[in-house]
Amino acid sequence: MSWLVLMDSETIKRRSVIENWKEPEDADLVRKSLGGDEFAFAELVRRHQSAVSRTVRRTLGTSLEHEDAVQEVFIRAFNALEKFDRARPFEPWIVRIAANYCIDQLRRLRTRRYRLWTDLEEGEQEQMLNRMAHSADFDSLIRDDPDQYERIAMSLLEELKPKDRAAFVLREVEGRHYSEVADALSTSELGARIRVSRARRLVQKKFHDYLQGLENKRRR
Amino acid sequence: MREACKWFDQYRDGELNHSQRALFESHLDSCVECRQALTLLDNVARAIAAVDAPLRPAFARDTATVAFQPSRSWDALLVSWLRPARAWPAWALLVILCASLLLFSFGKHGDAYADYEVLLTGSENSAFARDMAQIRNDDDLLRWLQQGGNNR
Repeated sequence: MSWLVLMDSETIKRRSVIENWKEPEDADLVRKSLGGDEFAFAELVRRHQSAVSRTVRRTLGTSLEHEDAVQEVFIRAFNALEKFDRARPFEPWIVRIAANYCIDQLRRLRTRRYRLWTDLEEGEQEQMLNRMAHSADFDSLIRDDPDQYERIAMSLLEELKPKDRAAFVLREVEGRHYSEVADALSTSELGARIRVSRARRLVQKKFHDYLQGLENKRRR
Repeated sequence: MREACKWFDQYRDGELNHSQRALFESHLDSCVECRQALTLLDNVARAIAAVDAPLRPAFARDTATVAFQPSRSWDALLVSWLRPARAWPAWALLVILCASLLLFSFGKHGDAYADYEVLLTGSENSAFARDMAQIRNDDDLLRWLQQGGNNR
């Protein structure tokens, strides 16, 4: 009888622990990571890896070393963890590190140009570009050939300055607010607006230049 | 460029008020450039966002393992060394090193001055010094030069 009572109280205690258990805050995980808790840092990575992976992929484009790049962002974050202000949210901080990493990479690989769609016939290129500027139901087209459309889109960003490109991706692709873009690029909100606006103009210009080039070739 | 085209960015960012938005939308009916630019930007963003970049299930654990590895790259080590807790002993070591170097170089100066003193003393005892002591005017100097005193 007494054993049953003991079991009961133990079960109740466990249930209460489970019911009251809350996921640790990012700030707690940072504190534990700084204290040498590897599992805490792994949990921090798990929570934010999608956001970092998206930003890196969307800014740098297709890369065989994508995972290495994302890992490098987290290693940079780990090395700077002591500087993180635990009163502030973790995601904008890690996205800033990711954006800076991408800007560094773009500066380093400035010579690498997106000419990845040359395996397509010129007529196909022209058709895809026209669809891009005129098709309101683009999603169904992307589903057919997402990689090819991504390559074309990335090739339109190729001449943007690294910071403008990161600003464009954060605002236009990820839909982040200008204050977040400014935070990620360590600039003012006005600076972020100027960069995004300039990038929009250049993407349009690049699009028209490509299309004009293809038309000229066709006429010759 | 038409007057309403300058509202393009504000329209795209959803920052126009109700009447401005209505005005810009009526402008879109007649402005092919703005209409095409809006569709293009929408579709470029969609095309970039459409391709996902999945990571391995063990990615988080592996990244944490790499981060906690003791032997990291030289730049990571440098950064870790510049952390405040480790920076103090490093600075102390640097100060001690600089102080030792300074002391050593002052010691060197001391030796040089001592050598100079020896040379001066030596020169006082030399024949040249003795000759110099005997030269009192220009005639003495002329005589000394004619005797080849400066070649001795």
